Amino acid sequence: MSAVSGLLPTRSGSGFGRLGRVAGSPLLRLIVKRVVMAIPILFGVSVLTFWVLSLIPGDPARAMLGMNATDQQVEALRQQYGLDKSGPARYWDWLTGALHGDLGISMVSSQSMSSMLGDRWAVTAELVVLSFIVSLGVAVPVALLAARWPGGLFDRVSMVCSMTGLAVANYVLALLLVLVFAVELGWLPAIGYVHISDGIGGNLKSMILPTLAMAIPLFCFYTRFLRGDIVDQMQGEDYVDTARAKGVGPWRVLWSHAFRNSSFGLITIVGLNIGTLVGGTVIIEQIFALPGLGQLLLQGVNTRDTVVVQDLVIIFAAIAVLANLLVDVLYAVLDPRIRYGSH
Amino acid sequence: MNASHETLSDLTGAPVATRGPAVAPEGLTVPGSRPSPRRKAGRGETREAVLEVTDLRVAFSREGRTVHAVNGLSYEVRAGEMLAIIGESGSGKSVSTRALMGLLPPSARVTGSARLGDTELVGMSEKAMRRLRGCDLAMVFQDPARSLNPTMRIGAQIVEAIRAHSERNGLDKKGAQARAIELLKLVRLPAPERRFHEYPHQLSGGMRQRVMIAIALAGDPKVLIADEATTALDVTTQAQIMELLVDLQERLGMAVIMISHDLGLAASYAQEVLVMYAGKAVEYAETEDLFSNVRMPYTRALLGAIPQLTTQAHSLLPVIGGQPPDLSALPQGCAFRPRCVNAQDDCAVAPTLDEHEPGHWFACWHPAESRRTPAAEAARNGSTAATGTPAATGNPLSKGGEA
Amino acid sequence: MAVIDASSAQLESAVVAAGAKPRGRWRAWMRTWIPAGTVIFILAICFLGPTVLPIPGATGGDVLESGQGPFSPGHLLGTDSNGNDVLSRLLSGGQASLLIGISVNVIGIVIGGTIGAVSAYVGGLFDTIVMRLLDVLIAFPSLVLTLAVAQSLGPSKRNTIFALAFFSVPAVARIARSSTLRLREMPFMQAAQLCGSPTWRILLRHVAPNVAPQLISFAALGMGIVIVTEGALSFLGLGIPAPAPSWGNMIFDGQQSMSATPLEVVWPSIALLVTVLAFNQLGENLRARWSGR
Repeated sequence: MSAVSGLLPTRSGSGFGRLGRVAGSPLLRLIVKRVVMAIPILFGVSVLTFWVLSLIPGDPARAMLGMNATDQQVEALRQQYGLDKSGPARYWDWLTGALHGDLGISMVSSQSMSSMLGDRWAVTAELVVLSFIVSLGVAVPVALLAARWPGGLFDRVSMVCSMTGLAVANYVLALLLVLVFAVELGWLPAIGYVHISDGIGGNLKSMILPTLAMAIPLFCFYTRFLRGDIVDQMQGEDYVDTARAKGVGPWRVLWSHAFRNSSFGLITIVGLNIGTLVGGTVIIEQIFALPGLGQLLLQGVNTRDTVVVQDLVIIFAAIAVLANLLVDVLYAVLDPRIRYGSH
Repeated sequence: MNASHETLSDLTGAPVATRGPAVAPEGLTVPGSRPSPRRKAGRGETREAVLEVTDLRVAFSREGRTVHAVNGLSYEVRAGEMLAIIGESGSGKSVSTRALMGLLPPSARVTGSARLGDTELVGMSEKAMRRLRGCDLAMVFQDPARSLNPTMRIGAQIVEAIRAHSERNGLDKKGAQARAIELLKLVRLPAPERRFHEYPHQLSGGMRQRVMIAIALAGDPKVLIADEATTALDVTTQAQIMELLVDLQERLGMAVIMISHDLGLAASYAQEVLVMYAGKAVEYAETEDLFSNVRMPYTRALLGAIPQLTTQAHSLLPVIGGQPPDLSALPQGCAFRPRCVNAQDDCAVAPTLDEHEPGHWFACWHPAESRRTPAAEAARNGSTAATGTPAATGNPLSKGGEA
Repeated sequence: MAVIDASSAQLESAVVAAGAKPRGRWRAWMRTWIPAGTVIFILAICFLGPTVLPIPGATGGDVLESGQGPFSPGHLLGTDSNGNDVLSRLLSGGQASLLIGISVNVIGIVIGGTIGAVSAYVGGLFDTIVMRLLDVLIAFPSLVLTLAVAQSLGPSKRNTIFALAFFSVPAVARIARSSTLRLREMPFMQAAQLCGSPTWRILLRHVAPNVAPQLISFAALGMGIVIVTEGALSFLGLGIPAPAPSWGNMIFDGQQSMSATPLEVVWPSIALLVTVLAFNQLGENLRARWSGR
């Protein structure tokens, strides 16, 4: 058995032998390469954030304590937060702390960042994950239906709708949804978050509108991409002709040939989207009063709490980088051309 | 000998001439009859035609303009034999075979007739056509690197072809897998059990094309269309794949339509050759007959453009001047007229494809001189009877595909 | 390769190339000019409207005149809760949005285009470093860092432009880089290099004109993104500071009294939607046209 087929299930060979083959596999090499590449990006992200926030004119300590504070008070605060040190020194302090899981203490509430983050991350994660599930879950069938009869009625209607949906800003959409479903119809709560421990039904109900506000533009984007890519495949790829020449039915050609190949492009697109999506939670959490990371960031921005802003910007960026990493790995695992290398 | 020509054309000539509506684009003369060349009696038994194409026409309409890709094509293929359709790109050779399989885009309008046994293919519903595709009619495409799905294992792609016709072969998943391995053995793919689990990119070009052939064979086709099936391969592999096709054709008794622009390949492997130009057949004969006695100036020009060992080094090859015709605005008369060295005034009236010599059909008013003198004729028939292999004699090209 | 094979693909492209029937040409014309016309109309009415049309100023309205409905005398679209004319605020707000969008995209194309083209053309270590830096910038959820930048610089039109340009530049640089890389392989580029033309000349004469169409069509799409993001910043109070109007802060103001006077949210939302839609369509059509599809 050759090295390229190392990941194939084999009955023969000791566990060690299999491991050896896996270690030499192109997949593992690719994953290691991606992880190694993500590290300098994360580093760069944190440096950049520090640098940008150090551009703030004026003194955050003075700004926090107000005009009436004495110079001694300000100086004490500056020392407490290390603001008297140079930029690189402060970055070093932060980095060593962060690597030990200590993200510092909020300048406004004097709470530790870890306790402030608390279970806020779960709210944001729920919002993001639900949005992905909803948008992809609807986009795939709609795109398949549209691509089945290109130029047909369903195709035209869905393309016009998705084109419009793509142009709607998510905050406008959020307000529109609140106006219709909360204010006019009164079906769903306009704002607020029900914790999952208070019942999953209530929790989901409170998440419907925020999820829709995030998912609809995303759905439009995915539908348009997927429909276009599938139609291109159906018209331009020889293996689609082969499948048709085999006598395979049209839906099966669409699903297991065109879509199967399009899904790789979709994965890439999803990866590129994660950053935007995570950023979008800031405004959606603000509108729907969801106690997530985005809301905390905005609080930090409004109270000029540099520690909170700094940590959250880096956390958001790290989420985007890591999600991209995950997508890259997923792509590699799913694509046989990468999984087994080439001959 | 002479008498037998007549009897055979009587046998099959009549019904072909009248079948199929003749929808002519403006400015084109519709020839009255669309005959096919007949087997010469000297060859012995006559096998029955599996596929009979009569006056096939394909037009693409888009935004008000019409491109006439195929303009009245007629031929027939018999079981266990290979017909080569030769032409430049744009001559309609591929389009005509895709039309048979219903693989053209919706903008294509196909008329005429194509009978596979008792089944009329033209105008067949997509659903009925799907049952035929991959079963009675199969196709191997040009580029094996692109015609296999890169994300599916080889085995799954063959099994899919078998399972698509489960109502006919009655095979369950297990049976289909066993049959797939059998097919891989049939196309002589090394280590079929292992290759079954591999992906296309792990195979070489020749192996991929063997897989494509295995897929095509999944439904025991009566007619196999090889659309430039060896063009993307290197010469050695090309010869291997052609040998495989010829072998399978004989063993399984399939009819093979081989589409190519390579005259050498046609000369080496096909029993009959049909030369297409601007969507029409311009010359049609048995391979030996055609190559030893080229009559149509276009075919002659094609042959002239091939370098040969006897060509003096550094001499310029003759090229066919001018451009292939614009199929949306075909000229009056013979489509080759603007590029033809023999063209004269009467070429403004389109010549019909006629049987000018027994078994040799061409469409030209001013053909090249026939080399078939009575003496040569006698010698030729003698040698054919002796060797029995196609294209073995007097053919300057026959080495082209075997190298 | 198209549906059929090389030869029939050739046929089909021949049909297209040889000129379509009037109906097809008319449709293609409409596809480009409806969004282009809309964009021109929006630009004209936002920049010329406030001076040409007989409407009151965007700020400094009389509170006594607040909350008037549409078609009330002197106020075509009514007044907001501060008594300011809604139409006037829409136009001035649009002016701000468009100005920011245009500035950000011009900065993006000039700086990002130069970085991307030079980086791809020079190649080597320089290219690697530039790409890593761009990766860092692209990794950021743009709204998040824009928020931080806007906060640190303080809300103003100029600072909003800076904050947004921060993300436009790397995106454009990426596109310029990839299309320059493709160009580098072209025979005419190699010919120019062999002729000994200086680098700046090759970049200006050969690279720029070939990369420009892609960047311009991207910029049209980018206008939509910038306008929406600017709206988000203003909505959060970090973009254009009140009382100066912007579509974002108008939506925010309207949100406060949404159940009573929903129209206050609706007007700027429609303006935003139409503008973004027009730019998106324009961008997509330009891209389709220039990529020869």
